[in-house]
Amino acid sequence: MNLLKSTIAVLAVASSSLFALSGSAEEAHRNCRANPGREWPIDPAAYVVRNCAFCHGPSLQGLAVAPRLAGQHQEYIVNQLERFRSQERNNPFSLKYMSHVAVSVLPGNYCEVGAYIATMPAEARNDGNEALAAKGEEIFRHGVPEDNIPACQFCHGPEAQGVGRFPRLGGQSYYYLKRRLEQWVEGYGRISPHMPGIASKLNPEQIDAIASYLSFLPAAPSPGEY
Amino acid sequence: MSVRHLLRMPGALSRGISHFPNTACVVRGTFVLASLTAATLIEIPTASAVPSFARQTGQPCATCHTAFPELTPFGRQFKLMGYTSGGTRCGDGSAKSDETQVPLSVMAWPATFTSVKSNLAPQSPAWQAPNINNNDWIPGQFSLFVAGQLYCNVGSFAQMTYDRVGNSFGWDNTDIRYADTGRIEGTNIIYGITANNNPTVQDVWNSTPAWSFPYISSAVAPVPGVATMLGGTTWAQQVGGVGGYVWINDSFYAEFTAYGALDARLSTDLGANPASSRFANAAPYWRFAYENKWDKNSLMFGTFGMYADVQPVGISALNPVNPTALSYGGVTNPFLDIGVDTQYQWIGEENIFSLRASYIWERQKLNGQSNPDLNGGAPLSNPVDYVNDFNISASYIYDRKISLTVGHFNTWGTSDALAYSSLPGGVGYFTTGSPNSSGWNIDLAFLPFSDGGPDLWPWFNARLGIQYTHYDRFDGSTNNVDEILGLKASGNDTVFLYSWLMW
Amino acid sequence: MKAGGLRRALQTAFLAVLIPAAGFADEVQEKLEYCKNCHGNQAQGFQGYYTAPRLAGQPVQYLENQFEALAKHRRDNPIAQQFMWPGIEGVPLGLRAALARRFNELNPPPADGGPRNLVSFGKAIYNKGVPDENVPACAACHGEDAHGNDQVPRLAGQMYAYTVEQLVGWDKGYRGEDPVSPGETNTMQSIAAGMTKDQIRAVAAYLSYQR
Repeated sequence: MNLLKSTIAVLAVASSSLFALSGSAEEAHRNCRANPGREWPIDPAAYVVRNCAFCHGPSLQGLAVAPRLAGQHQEYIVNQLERFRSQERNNPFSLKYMSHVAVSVLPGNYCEVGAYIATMPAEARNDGNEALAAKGEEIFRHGVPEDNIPACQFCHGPEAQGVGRFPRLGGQSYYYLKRRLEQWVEGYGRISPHMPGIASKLNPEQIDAIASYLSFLPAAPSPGEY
Repeated sequence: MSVRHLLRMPGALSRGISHFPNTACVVRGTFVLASLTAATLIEIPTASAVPSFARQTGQPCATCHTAFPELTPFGRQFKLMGYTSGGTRCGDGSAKSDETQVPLSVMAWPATFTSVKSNLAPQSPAWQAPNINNNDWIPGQFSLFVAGQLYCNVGSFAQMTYDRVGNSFGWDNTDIRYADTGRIEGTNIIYGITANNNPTVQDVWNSTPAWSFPYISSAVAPVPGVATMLGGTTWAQQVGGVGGYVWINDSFYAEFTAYGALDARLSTDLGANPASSRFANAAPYWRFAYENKWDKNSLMFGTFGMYADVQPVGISALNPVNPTALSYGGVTNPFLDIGVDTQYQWIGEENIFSLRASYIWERQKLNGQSNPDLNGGAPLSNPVDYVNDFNISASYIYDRKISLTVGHFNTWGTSDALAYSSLPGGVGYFTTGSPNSSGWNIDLAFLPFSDGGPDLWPWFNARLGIQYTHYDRFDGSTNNVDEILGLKASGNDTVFLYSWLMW
Repeated sequence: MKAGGLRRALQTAFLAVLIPAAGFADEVQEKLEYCKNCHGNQAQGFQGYYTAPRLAGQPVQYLENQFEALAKHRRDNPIAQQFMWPGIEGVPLGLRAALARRFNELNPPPADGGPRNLVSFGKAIYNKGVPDENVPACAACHGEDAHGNDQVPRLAGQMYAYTVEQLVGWDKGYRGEDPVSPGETNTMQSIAAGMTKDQIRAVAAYLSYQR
């Protein structure tokens, strides 16, 4: 347990030290500042239409079970591509669809693609349950202290706009957010040091409420990537 | 003199297909009415999921297909975007790498088995073919596809087929597209141009005839003689069409395509049998659909239709000599098809459920056949006949690998004692003047490589299946079908085993 | 809410008496894990959208004072209101001392680092102050090693962004005056006012690397 905690600590430190110089090769992709990457010359705007749009929608607003990517932060996108590639993110749809994408997209282009996607305007999906939105907001803003559930907005921002490696949640599809929370509860992809534990404390009504609330939020600006 | 081939629309029959030239012309010594019924005797199964698409996108077959050839929302999107997603052959910076992609695939049905219940059932011309009997294992067709990105935003799905039974080679379902994306006032649109040779082959839902269930059928089993022109994919590979479409907000689809009939020589050059009908002018085809997607669900309601000034081809009272000339000169038979369709899919992590239904209404104004003056003094049909096609099917697919589909089909229409009869001038084998046929199909298939092929060839895919078709009514009769004493409609029931392999 | 807090405090006291020590320890552990969601898994501090300060190695008295100031809403900057007020509501009175001790015992390396090029400048200010502005040496109260003591907080290894935010925002009165010893917390007000932004950033940068 202690070894696990130390490992988690090391990972947390490594991933949160935005100014620290992480020099290992494995970290190179994640640290787009140090290694912006350019394995194969692409025009990111044309690239995402050619390679991402047939699942994520023409302007990456999301399609069927594929989430909206537009407006998502570069660091988060790059991290996820890495995790799809390694299949650490192992829920069924990730394995069925994204594990293949992450292989056919060259790792050296991850940073560039992520940077462009972050500039794409994001539209709210508005597909949650309106009746639950108020309860969802309460949990989003303040957590549930008596159940030791932290406030989501601490990491994800006051309008769920996210920053850096913390994804933008505002306006994401209700169905997608709900399923992601459920997947952590079910034991999939326990990679994030935070989300599995937090999600496991939520009951289904809370998950429904949070996902509903978030789906209605318009895109808000995020501080410059750091 | 028999003009039976006037009746038969070479090419296809019902769902899906690649047309296949008719080699056996059943000569009955009757003067055949050239009504546009899809009387094809050989049913050519559909072309389908193509490994060159999988190689191009890097995705396994199950991303775009529930159980090929049925499409998922992602498969629909891939087709609407012109078959170019994942392609590297474009200098606009969209290529994901410098890998060379070759948009070729091969399809084979190396072994198929057909068992028709009653040995009295003679409709299939294959019974006339040498060395093919009931309960025989025979190889089916072999096809080569040029499928995928040709260059930048231009892509194709083009099939060429060699049919073992008919021993002929020719072009098959072909759809070449240019597509692009745009944004108008904050709304996404995909728009494109399609050039294709089979009305509804360009459609992305599996409720329109070209890609509907059953997706594969025996080349040698008996098949009902009447269908609407769209429902029977009558014009498959007999026409060329160019059209434009838009897909707005991933929800609303609108398309207009104009088809022109190919002349006899061109048809022959392309490997199709010369048509027994053609049409004058351009035949417009339209399609509108609205699809709502939420979570794992998609639900579509749509309508489609076509209008054609049909002109029968072949020997007639006016044209006693030239079998490839128009039967009635400039006189046209306006045919109008109007269809409505729906499709629902629920695509889960392990289970898939889908449902399709379509209804096509057709009005045939038989100006040629019904005019006594054009037919040596006696009409060959009613002035106006109606034909209706109804299809409904439901599928359950487990783990993308085991697929069970059940479907019901029903064709009914105006009784026409002259046209649908064995009297001189009739189509030859209907006994009651009624074109009605109905029954159901059940298909159980195993698709072991939907999530990825074997290590040796990861893009390999296969569909191994068994299909049973039952007829309640066949060519207007429940018994003594097609003038054959003792042949019940269910005597045409068929068991069909197939192997369908793709590289 | 106050009634709720009192009820909980009574509950906790009741339970703390009747239930074996193990039950209480569990509760402390759970609450500790809850705090660590935002303050870092070793309470080294954490940068989410907002910055949560390092609590590890803080003097126990300092932490208890902060519990009080937050619970009484004297410390009322916008972030404290959003996060710490609801958070502290959920901490029964009886847990505070135990939590403070647990945080004090933690000793992880610094989490974050400020701009390295400011470190030496910051070190000079930390040890010598800014005499022209009547800013005393920070080391005088916070210790040469910046570990603090008693009511004076530890600064060593504190999150760069947090230190900057506190110093820059002091004149907004967000830190709250302790009515018991009013002069104490006001000390920093004049000190912070006497420092320029560059000096603040430099000191914060230096401190962020101190162990």
